[in-house]
Amino acid sequence: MAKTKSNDKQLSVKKIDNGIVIDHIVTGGAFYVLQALNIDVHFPHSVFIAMNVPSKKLGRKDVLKIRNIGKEDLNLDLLGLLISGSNFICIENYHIVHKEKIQTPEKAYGVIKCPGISCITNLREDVETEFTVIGSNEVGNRENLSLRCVYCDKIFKILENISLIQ
Amino acid sequence: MNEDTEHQTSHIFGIRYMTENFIQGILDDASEIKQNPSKYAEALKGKILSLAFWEASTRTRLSFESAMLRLGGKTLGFSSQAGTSIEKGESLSDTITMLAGYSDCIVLRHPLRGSCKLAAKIADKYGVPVISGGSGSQEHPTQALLDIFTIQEYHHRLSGLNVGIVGDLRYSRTISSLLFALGKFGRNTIYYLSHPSLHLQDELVYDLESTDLEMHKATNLAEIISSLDVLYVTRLQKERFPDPMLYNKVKESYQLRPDLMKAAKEDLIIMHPLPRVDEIPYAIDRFPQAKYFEQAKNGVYTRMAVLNRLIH
Repeated sequence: MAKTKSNDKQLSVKKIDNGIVIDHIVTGGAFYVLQALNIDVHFPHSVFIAMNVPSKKLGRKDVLKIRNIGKEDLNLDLLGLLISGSNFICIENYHIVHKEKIQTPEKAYGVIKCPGISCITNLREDVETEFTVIGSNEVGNRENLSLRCVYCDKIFKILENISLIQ
Repeated sequence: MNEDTEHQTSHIFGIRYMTENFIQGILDDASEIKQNPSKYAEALKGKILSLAFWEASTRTRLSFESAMLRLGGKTLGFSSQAGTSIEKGESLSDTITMLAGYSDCIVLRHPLRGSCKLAAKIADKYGVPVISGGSGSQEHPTQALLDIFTIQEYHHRLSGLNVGIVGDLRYSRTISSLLFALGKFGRNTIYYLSHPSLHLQDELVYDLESTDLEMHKATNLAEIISSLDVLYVTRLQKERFPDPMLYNKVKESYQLRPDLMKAAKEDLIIMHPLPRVDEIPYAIDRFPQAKYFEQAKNGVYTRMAVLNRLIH
C-alpha cells in the first residue's frame, strides 16, 4: 500500500488514526511479522504494508501499520525475535502516544512450539515453552538468531520454524 | 548446594548445571561412605524415595534402591508404565505431583528430553528434590558421578587424562554427562570413535566448545588405545541403525578385541555403563584393566552421597 510522491524522493504511507506502526524493519521482516501474527484476509483490521522502500538509515526498509490494535495485543518478545531494532509506535487520534525500540529478549516464553520431536513440552503436559536466545538479530544478523529450548536443549533458528509460532 | 538458582530445592537433572565444587563434594562424600558405610546406616531413617521409571532399568533403579536402603530409608515406585495410571493417560506433571505427596525425593527416568526439568519445576513447589535417572538422550548425571568417582579412584586425578569414548555417542546419555563432567575439571583429551550416524549431538558439541576438553576424532581403536588412561565403551544400539545389515557390518569396528589389549597401558581402566552386548567380549573381563563391575558397584556409594545431600 505504499505510494511515492511524484518527485520520487519522499515516501508517503497513509497515516492511521488508531493502532500501531512498526517502522525501520529490516527488509523482509514485515513478511515474517505477518506470518508470525497469522495476519491474512480474515484479519478483522486494516493492515498497511510497505516493503523494500527507501530508508536513510537502512538503505531499504519495511513499514507495517495495523489499525485498531494496541501494544497489549502483541507479544513484543516475539517481535524482538523477528525484527529487533525496529521502532514500535502506538497511535491514538493520529498522535504518537508510545514509542520504543524493539529489543531482542534474552528469554522467550510460550512464543513458539519446540521443534524437538522428543521434547517433553510436545507431550500433553501443562507447560509453557521456554527458550534462551542465542545470538542477536540486529541488522544483518537476523538469519543467525537461534533459540535453545530450556527443557530439551534443542537449538534451532526461529526463521526456519515460523510455522511453529503460537 | 542448589545446582540451579531458579529452583528453591536442590535437584539433579544435569551435570552441566553443577559446579565443580558440588561435584567434588559428592565424590568426597561417596569416598567417605565407601570407607565407613555403617556410619550412614540410619542417615535417612524414616525417609521415602520414589523410583519413577517410565523406562526399563536395572542398575540405576536397583542401585538407587540399594543406596536408599543402606541409608536406612525406604523406597516405593514403579519400573514401567504397565499397571500404573500412566497407561490410562496420566501426565508426567500429575504423576510427579502425586509422588511429591508420597515421598521425600523422586528419582525419575523418562524417555523424553526435558522430562526431569519439568518434574523438578513441579516438585519444587512441594520442596521435594528430583534426581534424573535419565531423560531421553539428554543426560544421566548420577551415572557420570559414579563414572568420575571410579576414574578418580584409580587415577587419583580428574584432569590431564586421555579418555577414549567408543560406540553410540549420539543417543547415549551417559556420554553427554561424562563429557560435561570431564569438562569441569580442567584439560582432558577426548578421543571419540563412532559410526558417522552416531556422532555426538550438535547441541553437545556446541556446549563443549566452552570447556577445556580437547576433542579428537579417532578412526579405530588400535590407533588410540596405547595412549589412553580411560577407555569408555558404550553399547551400539541395534535399533538406532536404519538397516540391521549395517549394524552387523559395523559392530566389530567398535569392539574391544583382546588382541588390542597388548598395546594398552597397565593403568588403563576400561569402563562401560552396562549392559554390554558384543562391544566388550567376556575375554576382556580377565584383564586387570576391566573395571566396569567395580564402576557399577560404585553407583551405590555415589547415589548414597547424592541422596544424603538432597534429602533433609
